[in-house]
Amino acid sequence: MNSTLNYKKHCQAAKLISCVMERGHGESVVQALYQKKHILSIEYSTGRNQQAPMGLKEWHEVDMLTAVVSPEYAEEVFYDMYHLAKIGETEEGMIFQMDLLSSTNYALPDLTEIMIFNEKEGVN
Amino acid sequence: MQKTKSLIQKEMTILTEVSLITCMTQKGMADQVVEAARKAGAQGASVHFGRGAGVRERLGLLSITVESEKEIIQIIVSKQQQEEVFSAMFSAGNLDTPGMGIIFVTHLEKVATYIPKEILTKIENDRLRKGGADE
Repeated sequence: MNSTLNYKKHCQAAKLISCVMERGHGESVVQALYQKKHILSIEYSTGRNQQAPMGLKEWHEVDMLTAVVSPEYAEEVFYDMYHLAKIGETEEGMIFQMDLLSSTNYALPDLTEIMIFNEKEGVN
Repeated sequence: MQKTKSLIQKEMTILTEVSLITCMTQKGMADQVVEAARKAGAQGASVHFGRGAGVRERLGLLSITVESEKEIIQIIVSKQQQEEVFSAMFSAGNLDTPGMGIIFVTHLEKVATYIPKEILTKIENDRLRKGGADE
């Protein structure tokens, strides 16, 4: 029972925003967005995409980015990502948003705190 | 479909009433699943690689029959097309055979994508014409 309570303390509702963009743009979009505090996690992978609104069947190499965001900031991140990834300008561009019932915050440890603690404790 | 403007006043076209079909198949199967989806009306697909685990471990020696490398297909479709595309992908991927993969649908709140200017103009003209007819 305690473990259930513990994990629930770290969970929150969130939105998942995912986008497909031209290969090579993923890194710059992640760099531009990751420091925003309301982004709980952001990562990208690579793949291939086929969009055929005009009946063409070519595969394009793409970057596929996924971000988990606090619901109140989802709209802002959606628009930022849309423009940074140039979704409206390239044929393979696509972005979508969905609800997540529960998400933890992916946080990295504060290294300065750990170093101060280690210094106090005399740990190398 | 609705048009919204962002803070920097750039226009984007938002699609609603859409679903995401995600299908995980054995490596090498994606092309035929995508082809079936396109025949059923899907406009496009994204494919990336992944590695499966779970069933293989439970199968022991028999696990050699299940490829651990997977292809993950993501297809966005309208709610009207959802059933037809889902069914075509299910059949093409032989997903009724154990170990071949899994397919599921997720509801999407909204989607924005590249829409060629000609299509946007056509939609706008159709809307205006329909509006005029209603008046």
